[in-house]
Amino acid sequence: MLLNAEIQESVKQAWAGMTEPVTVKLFLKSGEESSQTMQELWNELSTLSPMLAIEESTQSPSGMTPQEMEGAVSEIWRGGQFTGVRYLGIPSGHEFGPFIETLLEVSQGAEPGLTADASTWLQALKDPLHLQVFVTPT
Amino acid sequence: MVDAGSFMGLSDRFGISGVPATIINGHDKTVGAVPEGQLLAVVRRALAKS
Repeated sequence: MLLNAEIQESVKQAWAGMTEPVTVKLFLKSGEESSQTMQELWNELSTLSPMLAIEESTQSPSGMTPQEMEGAVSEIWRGGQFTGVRYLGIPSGHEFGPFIETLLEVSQGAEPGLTADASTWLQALKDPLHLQVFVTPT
Repeated sequence: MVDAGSFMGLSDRFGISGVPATIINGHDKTVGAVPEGQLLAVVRRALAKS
């Protein structure tokens, strides 16, 4: 078990605020360490809210080749649509809290914490914008 | 978000040596928890090249 009772209770309380179902599409690479960890983590997390569903796949996510699929990829979907939020790898350490919070915000359809000017400018973009934020969770 | 430790090939491709590092459209990079205005400036420059 990855999550102890205290963490499970914290997540359960945080996710009690979920208002709409969220689906995680979990792309796994057979025999790879982060894939095994994320499969176990999502299995545990899925027991903590009835609003969370997990769909596993052994394919590569859209826009990634099998060679680029170095480890587990978790995509967050809401209302049958991809939200644009992907996590590559394992959200451990200090990344875990924001990751749990992100799922809550997606469920609630929360507005991003941007200024009005930035939101307006981003919403008016016609060309694709792909942001990859690299972190070291531990 | 990319866990650099699990995606070392991707991290190497973009020369990630400090985190957080943000790659914009696969060719522009900014390192650190930069303020919104600074990030948007980098995004604008990246989109101008696209």
